[in-house]
Amino acid sequence: MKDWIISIVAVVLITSIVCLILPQGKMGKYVKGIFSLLSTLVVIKPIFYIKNTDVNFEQIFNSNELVLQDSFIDYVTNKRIEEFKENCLKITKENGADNAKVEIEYFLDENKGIKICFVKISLQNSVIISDKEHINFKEEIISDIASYLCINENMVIIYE
Amino acid sequence: MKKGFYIILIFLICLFSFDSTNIVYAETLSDNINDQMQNLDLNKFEEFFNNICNLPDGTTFFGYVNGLLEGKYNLNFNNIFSYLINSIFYSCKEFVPTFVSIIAISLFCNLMQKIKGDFVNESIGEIIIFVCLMSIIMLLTSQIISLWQNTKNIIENIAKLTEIMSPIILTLMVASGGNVSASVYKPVVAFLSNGVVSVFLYAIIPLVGIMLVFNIISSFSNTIKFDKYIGLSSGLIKWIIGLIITIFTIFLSVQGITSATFDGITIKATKYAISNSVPLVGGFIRDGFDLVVAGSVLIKNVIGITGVFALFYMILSPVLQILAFSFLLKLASAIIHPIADKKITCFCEGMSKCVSYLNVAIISVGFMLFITILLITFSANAFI
Repeated sequence: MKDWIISIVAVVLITSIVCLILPQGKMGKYVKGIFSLLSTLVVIKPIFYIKNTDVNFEQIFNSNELVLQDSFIDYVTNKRIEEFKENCLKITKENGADNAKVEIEYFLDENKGIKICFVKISLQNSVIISDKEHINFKEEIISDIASYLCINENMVIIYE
Repeated sequence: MKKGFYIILIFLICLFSFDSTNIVYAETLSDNINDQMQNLDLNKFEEFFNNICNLPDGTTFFGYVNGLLEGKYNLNFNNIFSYLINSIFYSCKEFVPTFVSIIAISLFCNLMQKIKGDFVNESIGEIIIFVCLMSIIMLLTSQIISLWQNTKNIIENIAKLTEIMSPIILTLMVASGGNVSASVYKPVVAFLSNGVVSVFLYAIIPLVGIMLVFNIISSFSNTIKFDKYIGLSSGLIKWIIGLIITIFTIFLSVQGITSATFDGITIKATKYAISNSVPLVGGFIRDGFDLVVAGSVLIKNVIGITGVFALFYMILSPVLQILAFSFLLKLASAIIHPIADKKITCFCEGMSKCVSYLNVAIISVGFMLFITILLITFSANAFI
């Protein structure tokens, strides 16, 4: 493109100088006409090359893939899972089982969203709170945890 | 609900406060934010920010970000206004010697035309005008080339800012639960940083260059005129920019609203389920559920605001410079109109119009990035 612009500027400059130094006469208009034609040809020169060029538009719009910071996402995911576990423990305590153990099995989908597979609650070393012992607290725990995590109740497993 | 309200209120206060405000929030949220900041890689952004922005009183990038996070940073509109005025005056002052020279040359040309009288040939008068015009062109060419090159660099820097900032904001969006939104915004960001910038760098800027060159050569030739080519180029530029902005804005708005709503509804459904199904501990658990997410959203918003600040800082000075140059060209054209030849005044006016397209290019790309940052940053706040 640089060459094209330089050639246009050169032609027009030469035309201007020639028109300036040319004496007034009949030849003047013919000289001007020839130089005008020449400048037009120079300007439209790129059009002749368009047919032969191969512009790859896909390459222009091709993107370098955006790379997310997986280490940060893993860190935040772990924190959120820890938070879920703490809150599940709070739910179990509220429903009458103190000192339970919670394990959450999960995976990250293609969009890095948390998908919970199972929630395992161990009541082996737990202490049953006396004022709630008559309530069928296991069903209550399963229901509350399933509601909290928005999962099916059969994904919450309690074992003693 | 209460905590979410306070978090949104903190952002509104950070954005619109004129006086310093003391923001009080839970210590656990502060610890959460600090932990997340330590795990987030902001080195490239920091390097880019420090290269572009000169913050007052030696403030560092992290000092600025932490100030925003704590709500201590003041948005002083008086400082911004005075910076704007100073930039305009400085830009005008920079170009004044050139334009005084143009006026002086035009005066000289007029004097010579009057003095020559009947002693010299008519063509000598033409040569005088030609020489004066060439000297004006030579005076302006170096500055126009520098403005043109500057515009290219700014657009490349805008693309670089997009490439650096987008992974950070999208990572924080994913961390705060906006998975669908992040996957939707990825192609939009890629389109902006590659496609749109490529169109501007390889089509719009060269077209402006062609317009400038054709304007120059039209002015010193009586025989050969390129006015229609200039009209064609300006028409093409307007159409291309208009089309790109329209497509980009529609696509971004629709996708942004849809994805954020999807993510927002999913998370709000979770909250509804929690608060309604777990009556004893619902509210308490919901607050706990939001803590990590709230921290990520806070950091994401602050990074977004920092990016917007960097964008404005990057484009403000060149835009004002080009504006001042264009204004002074028009002013010079108006001043010399009674005394100078028609070629010189038409040249100055034509160049002023061509140079203003450089501003249009910078503002268009800047606007698209601004909209993208705004949507990515603030649409995902529906998750709280």
